[in-house]
Amino acid sequence: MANLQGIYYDGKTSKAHSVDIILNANTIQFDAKYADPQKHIWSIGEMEDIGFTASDTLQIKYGDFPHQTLILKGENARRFHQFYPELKKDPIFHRVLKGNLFKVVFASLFLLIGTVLFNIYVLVPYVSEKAVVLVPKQAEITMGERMWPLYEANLNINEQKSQQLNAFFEEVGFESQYPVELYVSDLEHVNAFAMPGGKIVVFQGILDLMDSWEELAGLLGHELAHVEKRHSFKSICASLSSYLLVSVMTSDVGGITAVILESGINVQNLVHSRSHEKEADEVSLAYLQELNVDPNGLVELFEAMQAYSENDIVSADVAQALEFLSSHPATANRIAYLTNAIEKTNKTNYPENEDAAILFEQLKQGKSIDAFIP
Amino acid sequence: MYLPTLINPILFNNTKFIHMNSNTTFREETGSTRLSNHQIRFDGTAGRYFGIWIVNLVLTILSLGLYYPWAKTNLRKFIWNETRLNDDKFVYHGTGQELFKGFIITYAALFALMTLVYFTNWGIILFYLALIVIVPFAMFGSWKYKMTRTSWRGIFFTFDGDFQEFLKIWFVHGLLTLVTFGIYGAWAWVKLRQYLFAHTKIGQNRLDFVGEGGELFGLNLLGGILMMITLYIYTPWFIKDRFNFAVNNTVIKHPNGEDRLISNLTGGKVFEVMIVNFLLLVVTAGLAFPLTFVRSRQMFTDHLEIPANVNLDLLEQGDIKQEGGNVGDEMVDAFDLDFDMGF
Repeated sequence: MANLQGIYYDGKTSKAHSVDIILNANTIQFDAKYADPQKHIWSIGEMEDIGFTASDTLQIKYGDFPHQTLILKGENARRFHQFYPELKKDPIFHRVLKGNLFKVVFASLFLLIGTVLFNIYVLVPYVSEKAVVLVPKQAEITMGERMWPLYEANLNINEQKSQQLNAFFEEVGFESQYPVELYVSDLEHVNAFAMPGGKIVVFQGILDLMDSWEELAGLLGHELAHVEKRHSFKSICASLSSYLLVSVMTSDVGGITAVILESGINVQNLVHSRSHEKEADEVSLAYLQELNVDPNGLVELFEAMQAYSENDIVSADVAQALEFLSSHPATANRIAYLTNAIEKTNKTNYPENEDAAILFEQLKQGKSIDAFIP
Repeated sequence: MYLPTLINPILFNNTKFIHMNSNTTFREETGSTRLSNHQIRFDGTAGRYFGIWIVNLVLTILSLGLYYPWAKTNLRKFIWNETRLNDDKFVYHGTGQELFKGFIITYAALFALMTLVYFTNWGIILFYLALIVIVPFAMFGSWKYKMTRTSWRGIFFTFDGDFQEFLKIWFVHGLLTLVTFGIYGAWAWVKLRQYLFAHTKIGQNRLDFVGEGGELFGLNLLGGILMMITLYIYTPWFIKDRFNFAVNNTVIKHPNGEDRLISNLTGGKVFEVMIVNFLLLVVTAGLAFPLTFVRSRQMFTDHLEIPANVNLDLLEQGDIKQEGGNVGDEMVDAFDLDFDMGF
């Protein structure tokens, strides 16, 4: 038994009542000095510490709304806590704030980094992969169409060559369940990309590197695989989820609206996961075999790109090439597994396609223009 | 052991309240008339703020954002419960569970709207239409929620506003703002604030807001011009003017009459806080953010006073039940339109 001093508020008025508190095993007891004295007996299990953070003050809430409040300060609060360590309170904060701060900081930083990595590399891609399947194809196509004007404006699309590329696509015999539209950009990027829903952009820079129509066919097969396997859409969903996550983390929830409205994602620089790239390579290979096109073109294209990135042609171009390559499986590695897969087919004779070759020669004509690098 | 609490922000305050503390420790139920105004102080420390911030961050990420309502509740509890009116802290009674409902509804609605914006032509129109209703709803709901979840000495704030009335004001004055290309905005702001305040009570004491739109407009205009001329050096004085306008026009109606809240914030003080905060952030590469947060908070709360005329010992709870819609609360955050009175 001990006596402590506190201040009592009855929940009816803001009048302060100084009280002497008697501490029993499972209850506390005090008299409020009204004109008509009232005896209060509170059981420990029904009291709640609502002081939250301030360590020198104890605020105890009791009863239903409007509840009564008992406040103890300084030594009184400390002794009360000693007597009733089991007093109900906001668990996590009292533990964190009363623990060793350095331990807390390091543990949280460790946990933080682990969680971010886990979310970005495991959880978000997994959820996106699963969720995307539920979205109807038409929605994906519409999304691509809505995004297109934003890209088109900066791409220097060459109308004539785009038509030739579409003709080439048909000539080789590619087919898709999406309304595929191909575009040639006059820019010198060594790159190509696919938008969700079937739009594919090939830059003049990568055309310049090619020596045969089979290489172009290999590239288109690769991009078409991205479309068919909905890779762009999946990646957009993944990066959007990451954006959402980051916004929530930084409490910048207001920013989410902006991100979604502006679409905030650059398909051009979209980083496909390596598994997406490998899948696209394999699917491309399957297309080429089905269409009776020499799949070595794809290998030659990778070899040309590898050589390109190794030779310092123009530093800016190298940067571009590396940017493209970095998101892909190591090029040597790709060449190896593709060569391996091609050898397994035991096929060496592929028919020549004159029309495709002519269209390819037309596409190679003309010079790319310096890319605007934002 | 750790730096932030060594530089206890309390040290930056004037020492007036410390004397006051010792005088008022033995305040008894005599209903004595006070000579000095009621002081508001923020006692939060940078160390505690950092503790809350880091836990919020980790749990929010771990839960893929679902912890956010609880994180927000933690932060509010910290702010409310470290804010002291005379000797007694405010208490925030909101809970994460309550906010979670609003959070889910908000995000579901936002997601649905965004899907429409992406996939249809008319989605964007719907989005703006929805925004017109959601924004006042968020302002109203957030204010109501915060007020009805706040108590001092066990006496709760109450709110008896009606959303339809508020919406009407929003539409009329919003429209006027629109057709005047924003010039009427100052009057609209005052009108909305006035509605919210006039329907808020602490105990039996009703608040009110008596600021004039014209004064606010003049303030904004003058502030804007002076900031441009002085290359934004005038900013602290503009902040001071805006704060003082908000505070000095807030009225508390009590049994002994009506009194305005008092702000004694000076431009020099704002200037000092901003400069020191800026330097702290630069020197520590941003790591001092808990300290700058606390300093900014104190800058406002510590210069807020309630006139001595208001007898804070005589607040009465009256016959009320805790209530308050909570959907609006999250919405405010989602659209970044928090309508805060500043304590």
